[in-house]
Amino acid sequence: MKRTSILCASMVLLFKISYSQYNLPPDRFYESATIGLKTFEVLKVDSLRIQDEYVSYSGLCDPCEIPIDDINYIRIQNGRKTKNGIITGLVSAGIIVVTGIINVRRMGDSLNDDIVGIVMLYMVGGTLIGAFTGHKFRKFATFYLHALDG
Amino acid sequence: MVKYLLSFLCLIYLTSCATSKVKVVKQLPIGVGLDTLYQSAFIIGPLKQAVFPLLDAAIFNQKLQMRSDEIMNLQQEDLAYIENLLRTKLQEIVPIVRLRSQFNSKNTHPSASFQVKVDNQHFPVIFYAKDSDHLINFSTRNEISSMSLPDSISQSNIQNHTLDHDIPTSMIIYNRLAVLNSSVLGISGNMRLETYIFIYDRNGRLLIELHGFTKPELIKGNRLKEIENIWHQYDLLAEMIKEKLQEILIKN
Repeated sequence: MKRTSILCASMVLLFKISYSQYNLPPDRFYESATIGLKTFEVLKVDSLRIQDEYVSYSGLCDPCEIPIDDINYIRIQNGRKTKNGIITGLVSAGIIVVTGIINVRRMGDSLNDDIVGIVMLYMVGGTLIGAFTGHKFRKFATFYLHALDG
Repeated sequence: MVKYLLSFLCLIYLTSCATSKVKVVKQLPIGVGLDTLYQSAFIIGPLKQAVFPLLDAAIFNQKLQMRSDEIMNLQQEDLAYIENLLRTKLQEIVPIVRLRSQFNSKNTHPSASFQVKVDNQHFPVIFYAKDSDHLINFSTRNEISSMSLPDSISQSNIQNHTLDHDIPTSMIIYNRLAVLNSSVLGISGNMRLETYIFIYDRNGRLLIELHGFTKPELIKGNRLKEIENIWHQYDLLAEMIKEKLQEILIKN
């Protein structure tokens, strides 16, 4: 039992060491990715699986596998720009509201009683539009598998 | 009237040429002669993106970021070619010795080109040409985009390098694409090719610093062909750098 657990621990350690010798993306599976080969050929692939020594993907080829040593980089989708969109939307709505209030004051008019509601409406609207627009943009990250630490 | 028109045309011609230039930032001290240049590193750095105007630049940068892998692929593919191009040009005026890398020889691919990670989300590595030493340390994101490259090259690194190879000088060449500004809503932007040359003495003191820039080209940023065209102006830039370096060497 003890010997088996030591063997298992060694296998896990060995696996981690072999995995970390390359600058690999954080996950083992990606629905879609771009693979840049060392020959500068670029492949757009689906269902990318990253193994210890090679990557596999779905396609007409059989087997669809490429050794990691032949790969220059892997580009994967790394989230969406929703957060950036929310910030941009909020800031834009804030600028519109502040400019509006300044203009009303400059013209000598008094602010409406439901100003708070209007401000809230603008802020929420700006945030929603920003979030929606940001969500449309995907974020990508490129991992050069053989890059050295700086 | 014709005279005014001619003067105006001359002015336009001169200002359009003036944008392609090689600037001598540090002149070789008088009395110091350089009979051979020792090339220690030839580097392609990350594309420098514009910051202002904030929103317009962000939209334009987004277009380039979407193509960052293609841009980097193009640069990496041309790395050996442009290194050879500049070296061949400079060799017309002064012999250049390319050093077999000490750093690289410890790795599995001796003297091959290699990449080093930097803190840049979209352009995450810098490319070192074959036979280069890893001499630049970008510690912050600002250092990568700023013009203060000598700060990223430590004096001790150069000293160790010259001692290891027993060479009197060390030349580092750093190249990148740079976006200078963008138009309203990021519809287009001005991009140019930049080359920085630093020549150090045995003690790591800067002897010569040259900055070479091509004329900024207005691009939309969504076609790789536009960026390729700017990148392929390296030939012109290499020629200008050669002429400027020749002037400096002749003076001494």
